[in-house]
Amino acid sequence: MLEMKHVTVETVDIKKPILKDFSLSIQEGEIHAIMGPNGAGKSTLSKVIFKNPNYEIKQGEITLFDQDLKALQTEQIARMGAFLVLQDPPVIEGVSTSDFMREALYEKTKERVNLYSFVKEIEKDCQKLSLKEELLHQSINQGLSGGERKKNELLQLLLLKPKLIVLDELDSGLDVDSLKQVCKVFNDYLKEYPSTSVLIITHYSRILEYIHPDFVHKMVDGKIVQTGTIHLAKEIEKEGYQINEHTKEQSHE
Amino acid sequence: MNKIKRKEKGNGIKKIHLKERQKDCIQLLNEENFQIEIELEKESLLEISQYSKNASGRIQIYLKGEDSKIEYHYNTVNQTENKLKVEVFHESPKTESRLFLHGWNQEEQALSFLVNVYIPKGMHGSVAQQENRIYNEKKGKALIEPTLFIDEFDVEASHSSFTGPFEETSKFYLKTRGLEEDQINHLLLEGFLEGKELTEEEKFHFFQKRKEG
Repeated sequence: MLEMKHVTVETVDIKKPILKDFSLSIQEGEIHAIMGPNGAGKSTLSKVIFKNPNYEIKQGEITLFDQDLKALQTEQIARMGAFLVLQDPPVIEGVSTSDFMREALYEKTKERVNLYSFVKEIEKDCQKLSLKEELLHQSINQGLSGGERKKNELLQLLLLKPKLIVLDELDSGLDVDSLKQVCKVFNDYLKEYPSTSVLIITHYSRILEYIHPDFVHKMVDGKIVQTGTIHLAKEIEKEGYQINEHTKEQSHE
Repeated sequence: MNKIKRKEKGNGIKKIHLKERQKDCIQLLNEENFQIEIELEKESLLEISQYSKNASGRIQIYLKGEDSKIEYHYNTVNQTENKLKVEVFHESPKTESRLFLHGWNQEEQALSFLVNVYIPKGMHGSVAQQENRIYNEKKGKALIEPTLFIDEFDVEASHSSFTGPFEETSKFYLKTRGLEEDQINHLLLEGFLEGKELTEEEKFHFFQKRKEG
C-alpha cells in the first residue's frame, strides 16, 4: 500500500532536511502509529505522502498503491484512495462545504449529485458525528471549533471512503467525549472496510486507547528509531522520547 | 429587505435615487466603463451587487437622508488595466455605508481600488465599513487605497484590505480531496466573487469558467 525506503526530504525554501533516511512499510489493512516529539518531522511525513509542494524528496523511493510517488500529483493521490485528516484544517471563505464535498465526490464517482440527494445521503453521517447539517451550507470550517473541524474531516472521510487514511494529530482540538465519538465512528468505518490501511500521527498515546495500532513507531529527528507494539506507546508515555543506548541498538537491527 | 434583485445593465452613466423609506435590491452587470451616482433619502435602504468585467468605473454615493443605508458588493474580473474609484459622502447623521470590493486580476495587468469615505462633523452615529480584496492570479499590479476622512467622533469606521494570490494551504487542502487546479480556482473564485447569485450562463460569461455538465 505505502512503501518508503531510505527517504530524505528537504523544505523547498530553506533546504532544511526534515526526513532523514526514513523508511516505513504499510500493508493493506494495517494500522501504524507514529509517535514523536515536536519537530520530529511527523507532520512533514503526512505532507510528503500527499506531495505538498513545500517539500522535496531528495533521496529514496516512495511507492503508493504500487505507483512511484514522484510521478503523482496531490489530487491523483487522493483519487487513488488516500485521505489526509489535517492537523489544522483551514477555513476557506466563500466555498461551501456541500459544494466542495459534492465536487470531491464527483471526482471519485464521476456522477453529479444534486444538493437535495447529497444532503439526504450525508444526514446520517452528520448525526453519527453530532454535526449540524447547517455546516454543509456554510463556508468550509468557518465558525467551527477545533473539534467540529476534525469532525468535518471525518464526515468527508465517510463520504469518500478511502483505502489509506493518514490521521495527523486527530486528537488535537478534541475533548475526551468528542475523541471517543470520533474514534467510534472511525472504528466502525474500519469494521466496514477492513482492508483500509491507517497511519496515525500523534504526540500522545491517548488516541491509541481507542484506535488500536498493529505497529507503533517512535520517530525522533526525522527518522524512526524504534518500532514495537502498543507497549512501546505506553513506554513513551511513561519515559518520553529520550533516545537511550537500548533504543539505538534496536534502531540498527 | 426583499432579497430578490432586479437585474440591470451597469454600463455607461447611471443614476439611482431612492426616495424616503424606499428599499431596493439591484444586480448590475457590466462589461464597459461606467459611472454610477447614487442618492439615498431618509431611511432608505439600497443593496447592490455589481459584476464587472474589464471595466473602469466611478461610483459616487450620497447618503443624503438620516438613517439611509447602502450595502455595495462589487465583484470584478480583470484582464486589462482598470481602476475603480468609489466616493461615499455621509451627508446626514446615522447613515451607513458598507462596501465589499473584490477583484480577480487574471493577467499581468493593473487593477486598483481607490476608496474615499467622507464623514463630516455633525454626522454622528454613522457607520462606514469597507472590505477590499484583490487576488492576483499572475504577477499583475494590485493597488488598494482606502481613505477615511472623518471629522466626527461618534462614528464607527473600519476597513480591511488584501492583495495577493490564493492561499497555498487552501489549495493543498482541496487537492487532498481530489480536486484539480481548475476546479479549485472555480470554487475559490465563485466564493470570492460571490458568484452564487449568478446564473450558470452569467458565471461562464463573466468568469470564463467551465460550464457544469
